[in-house]
Amino acid sequence: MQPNELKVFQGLAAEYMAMCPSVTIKFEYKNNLQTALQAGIPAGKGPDMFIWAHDWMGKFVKGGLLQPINNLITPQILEKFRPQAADAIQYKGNYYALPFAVETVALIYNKKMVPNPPTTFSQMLSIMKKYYNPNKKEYGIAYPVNPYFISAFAQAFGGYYFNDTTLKPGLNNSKTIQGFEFFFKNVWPYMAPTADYNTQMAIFVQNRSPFMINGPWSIETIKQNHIDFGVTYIPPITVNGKTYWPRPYGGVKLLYFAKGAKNLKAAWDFALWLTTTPSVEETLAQKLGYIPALKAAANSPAVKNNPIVYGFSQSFDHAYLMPKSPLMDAVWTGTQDALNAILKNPSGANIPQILQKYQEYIIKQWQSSGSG
Amino acid sequence: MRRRTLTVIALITPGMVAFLFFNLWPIIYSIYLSFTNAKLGNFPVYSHSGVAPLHFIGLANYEWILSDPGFREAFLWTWLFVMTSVTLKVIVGIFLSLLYNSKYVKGKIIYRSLLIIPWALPLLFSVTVWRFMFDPVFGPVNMILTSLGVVHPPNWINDPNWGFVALNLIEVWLAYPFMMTVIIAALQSVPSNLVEASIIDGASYWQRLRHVILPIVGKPIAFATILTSAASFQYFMVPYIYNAGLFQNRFILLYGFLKAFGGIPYYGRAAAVMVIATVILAVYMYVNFRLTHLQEGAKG
Amino acid sequence: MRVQRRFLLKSIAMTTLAIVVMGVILFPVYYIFIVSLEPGSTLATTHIQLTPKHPSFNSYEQVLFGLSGSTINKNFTGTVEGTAMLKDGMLYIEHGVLRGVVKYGPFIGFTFSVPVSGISFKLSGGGVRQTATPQIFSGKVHGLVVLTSVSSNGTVGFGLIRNLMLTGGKVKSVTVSGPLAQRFILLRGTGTVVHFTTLGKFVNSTFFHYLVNSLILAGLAVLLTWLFAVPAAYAFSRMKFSGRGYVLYFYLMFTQVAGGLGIAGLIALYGIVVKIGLYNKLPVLSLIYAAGGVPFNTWLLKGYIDSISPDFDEAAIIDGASYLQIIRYVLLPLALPGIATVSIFAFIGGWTEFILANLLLEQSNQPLAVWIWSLLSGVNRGIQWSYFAAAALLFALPVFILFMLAQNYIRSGLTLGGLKE
Repeated sequence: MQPNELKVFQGLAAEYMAMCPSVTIKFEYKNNLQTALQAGIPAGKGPDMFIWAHDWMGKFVKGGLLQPINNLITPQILEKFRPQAADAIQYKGNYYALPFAVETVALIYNKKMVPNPPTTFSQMLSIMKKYYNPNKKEYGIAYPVNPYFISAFAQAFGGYYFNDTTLKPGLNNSKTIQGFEFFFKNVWPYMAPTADYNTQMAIFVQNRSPFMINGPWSIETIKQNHIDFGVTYIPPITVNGKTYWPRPYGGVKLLYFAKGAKNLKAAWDFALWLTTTPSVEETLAQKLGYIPALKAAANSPAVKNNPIVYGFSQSFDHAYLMPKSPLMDAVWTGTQDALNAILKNPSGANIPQILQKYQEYIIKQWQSSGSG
Repeated sequence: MRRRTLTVIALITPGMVAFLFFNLWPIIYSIYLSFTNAKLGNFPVYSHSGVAPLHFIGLANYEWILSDPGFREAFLWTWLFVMTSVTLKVIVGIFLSLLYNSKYVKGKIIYRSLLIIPWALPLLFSVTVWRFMFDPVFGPVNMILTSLGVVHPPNWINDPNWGFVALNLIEVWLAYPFMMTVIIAALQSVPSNLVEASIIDGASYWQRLRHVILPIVGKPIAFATILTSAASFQYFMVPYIYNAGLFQNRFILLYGFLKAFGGIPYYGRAAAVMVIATVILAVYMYVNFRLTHLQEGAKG
Repeated sequence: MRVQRRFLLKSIAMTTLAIVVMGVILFPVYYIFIVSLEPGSTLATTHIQLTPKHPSFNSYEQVLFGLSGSTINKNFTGTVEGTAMLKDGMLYIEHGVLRGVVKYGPFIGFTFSVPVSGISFKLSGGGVRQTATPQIFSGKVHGLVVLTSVSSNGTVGFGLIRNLMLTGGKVKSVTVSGPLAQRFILLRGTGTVVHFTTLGKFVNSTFFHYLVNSLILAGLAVLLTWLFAVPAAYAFSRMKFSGRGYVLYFYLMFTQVAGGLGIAGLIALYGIVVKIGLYNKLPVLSLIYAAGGVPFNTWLLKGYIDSISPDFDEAAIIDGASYLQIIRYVLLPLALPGIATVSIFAFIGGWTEFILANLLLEQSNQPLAVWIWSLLSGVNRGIQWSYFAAAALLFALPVFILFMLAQNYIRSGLTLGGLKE
């Protein structure tokens, strides 16, 4: 969490403390959170709650580090959250956390270059072509290349990296292959040929590309560079008459309950207040650009009239929730390795072959670590 | 005799006790763990999630890693890296030390202090900056190369071989402050009357270097060289940050860890990798120290 | 004359070479410096600018003076004035303004003024009259101000004033004094504004807090390293004793191991420290650093002491010196370059270590290195590169200063007096 985010949370905690003076809430940074929790929770020095995205849930349940809150969650509470957020807080039937924000990547566009955002991919493509001029270091789109960012296109046609139910990777799935090939044929040629996040960011904020694919965390830097920008969903692709929506991986930010929490009830009360009070969610949205997980806040006029949050919110409607299984780590590294292999020669790579190779590689990794 | 032994014990014990107290148990524990099936699910807490409870499995972890063909490849490449990077580090280190200790250079102290800054910068930051420097499209390195007329500058990020070169350069940049500090201090402790005496005797710069300076500074330099080669051997953080997947078959610690944490985290295997690396290092250091007689004291 | 000219020419040539080489090597550092001067920088850029377009020290200001998230808890002195009534041994303030000043030594840290109404003081001393109507009132106060969240323009997010004590108040001609009747005065929503002086901002900034921690941590580590390594290095270098070889090799092996604690080692160390109740204590961490550095520092120092000719020892022995005297008057001065070097290593080790510090300390005791690491969690997400670059350079600054100071000791420690050639 960056300092500006922490400030807002501390302000909210101060409000809560003013309401309930008997409670003291302390926020602590902990780097290398996973190790710190693994060491601290068993030793009884862990926190009552911690904040992270939902994809750690499988790992932490398996590690025995989370406190189930089934007795505190009620169907009424669940109803208040967006369906994906309500799904994100449970693992194998038990509940362990409360959601306070969702996030995913979306299409960010420079209003000076693109006054009206594209609503179909073909529109987006023609704009990219128009602005692609590598000799002048201008590009059609700024797009950091890594499994998380590419997931929007890789999973657009129904493909997937990993299926949380069957627990199998999907790299060699024909639809996944189609997604990868689509990206490298229709997006990559209009990009600066580098995968680096910072470089692509620089291209967009220096007005060298009309588009960028990025998440809410990048808005602060865009603002600091005085770009007049808008946010919208990544436009749908039409192939052979059928429409496909890009499906980027979506994350849900959670307040996890740690095992052995000494003040569970007090923590629960604070967490419930934070996550289900519309005004709190709206504050997070206004100040930090968080997309609310709370239905009431997501549909409130304040949020709907915030074009940035609304744009990301729209993109999240099509998002594919990141898998929670602890097996996902190997899938991330395997997909990254596949991307590296493709990036050695993007125009001429044999994508189906590479993806097949890494599909097998991931399965081998699991087997060799005794978890296949 | 008695008094002397007591003196020796008094001099050595504080350090020894402090060291053992904080380091012995973690080391023993790591070794113990390397013989178990510790993984997520039974370590550090047993969660009833289908994983077998923590128990001894003998040498299974060691067999697993040593029989892996990738391990052998990583092993060889790591030694190659040690050889190339250490040669560079020592040459650059000595060159810089001589340059910034020379009586002809004005403002030495300021330059030396400025040059120490890379050592104090956070590693992740330095590597991220270097990663940008080597970016194939916008990085300054390739920009300079193209302006010098090179048509197809190398892809430092995605090509394993050029990346290997880049990592060597980064390692030299990260390590030169260490080498410089050790060597300059050693150079400073050369008695200037000896140097002057040899000048009076008509020795040239290179003769002075070889016969007067090098024997005296030889020990600290040898020590620094051996230590810095150990650092090269354990190269892990930098390739991981730079481009983990690309180098996983090139650096032994990186390889070991990626393998151990490949599926669900298998702590027993990671511990085994550490133990193997430590044993290899210990043997390497022993051999080197014997070769350079570093273990000998001042009187022989 | 010719020798002088040759010297000058060589000097210019070598100095130029030294500067050029330094420029090449330090280019990344220069680049980081440029990034720190441009808020909104993205670290990577399509266009390298050697001089920033719009340099601004905004990022440095934010790092050094940004009051992000530390609770301020300070005693203050001040005045309260307004209109008040005396009744039944209490002083009721109708409307008034409470002004306070917090000082750091002789310097003003920050001032604030709080509109107050409806607060009252319990008066001490008897014979106090009543007033029928509110009268003009003024008095001196002192108390404790707690600010949990203050924004950069001084508005209070959350804070309160406690332990307020009125001394020397005057209503009409009556002198009054006593403690506040309420438990505390809430500052929220009263429109209180806090004015910080530059010093006040710096001292209350997150950076300063962690800076102090780092200085203590690293400084103590250096002192402990002297204690552990210097005597041992002398013994290994100058004395022969049985088992010397074994201990040396043992240390040798472990120069590498202490540095490579995997997750198992971390959890084990955490376990011991918690069990003996030493969790979250700064000096303990210094002890761990010094202890971990014993093999390396002993070996390094031994190497330097080895290079001091034993003839000096013998000369001193001939002159009738004891062991202790030899160490103090002969070896220590000669070994100064070595000791200074070992001190630098110990300091840098303690200054830049973050893994153990993160694990074994809570946030209020954190050193700078851990704070910097936490900023890096935003890499490839929302990190503010300019802020981070400024923080990183400020982080490296004390090391730079210390290294410069230590250079005086890394000069040749030899005064040629005592050796007959």
